[in-house]
Amino acid sequence: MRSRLRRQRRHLYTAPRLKEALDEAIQSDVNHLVIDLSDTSFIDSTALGVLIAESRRLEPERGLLAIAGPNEQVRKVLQMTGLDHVFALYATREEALADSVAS
Amino acid sequence: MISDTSIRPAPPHLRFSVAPEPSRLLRARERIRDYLALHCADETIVNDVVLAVEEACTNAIRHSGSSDDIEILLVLEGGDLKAAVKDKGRGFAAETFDPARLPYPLLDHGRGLFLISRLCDEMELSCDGGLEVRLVKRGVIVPRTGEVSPSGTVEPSVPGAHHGESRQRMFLEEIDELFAALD
Repeated sequence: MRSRLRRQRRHLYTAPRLKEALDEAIQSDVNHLVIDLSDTSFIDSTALGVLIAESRRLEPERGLLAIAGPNEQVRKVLQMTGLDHVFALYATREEALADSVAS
Repeated sequence: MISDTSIRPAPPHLRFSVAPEPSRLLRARERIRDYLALHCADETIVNDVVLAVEEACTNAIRHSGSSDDIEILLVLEGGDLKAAVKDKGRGFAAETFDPARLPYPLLDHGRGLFLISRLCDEMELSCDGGLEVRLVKRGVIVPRTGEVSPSGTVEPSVPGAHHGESRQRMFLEEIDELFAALD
């Protein structure tokens, strides 16, 4: 099991770039992906769509996409759409990594 | 000669159009944010409105099928923010949207209208030569600490809001037309 870490740019409006970054991160043997959004100030539904589409490329049974460091706006959007139950949310990437290593 | 006192001042508003390109949305987002920040010190409220308008624009880009500019209008009236996003595309069967239904979380599309309806106090869809999304967010006037005027409200000047009698009248007419159906 390998975990990869991606640091995201500040504005997640550039969905194609996000998709590229995630495509690159999710190689065939990646189960767990931690996305560090601590530098991201704002997301919209386009970004959510990319996160969901990419999370489906992880292993169906054991794959996990974790989001680290969501700010208030990001957290709110995730909660409103029910995605806080689909993605694991962590305050910091260290916590996210610690959890994914343990599992 | 019509005197100034017979014309009520135009409410603070922002009106512009944006090409239906994702690359233009960031600039539109910042214009809206700058405008709202003049009147609202609450970042949560500002983020809500920015996201709602951006979702409406994204829908227009994705689904309208039109290459015409998207028209955006924001008006502050009575402490409420009223906005309209209009495209000139193929329209949308508004009756198919159910705001009470949470979009299936694992779908990678189809959340825009749901988000708008949750972020705002009112949302209305109408089709007439394209889709118009109208939304209302209440209580958006939030003064920055220490900036309260004698009347108890904050009304900073908005660039472009006062451009002479005839332009004021033109803005008023356009705004009235646009929002007549909201009342």
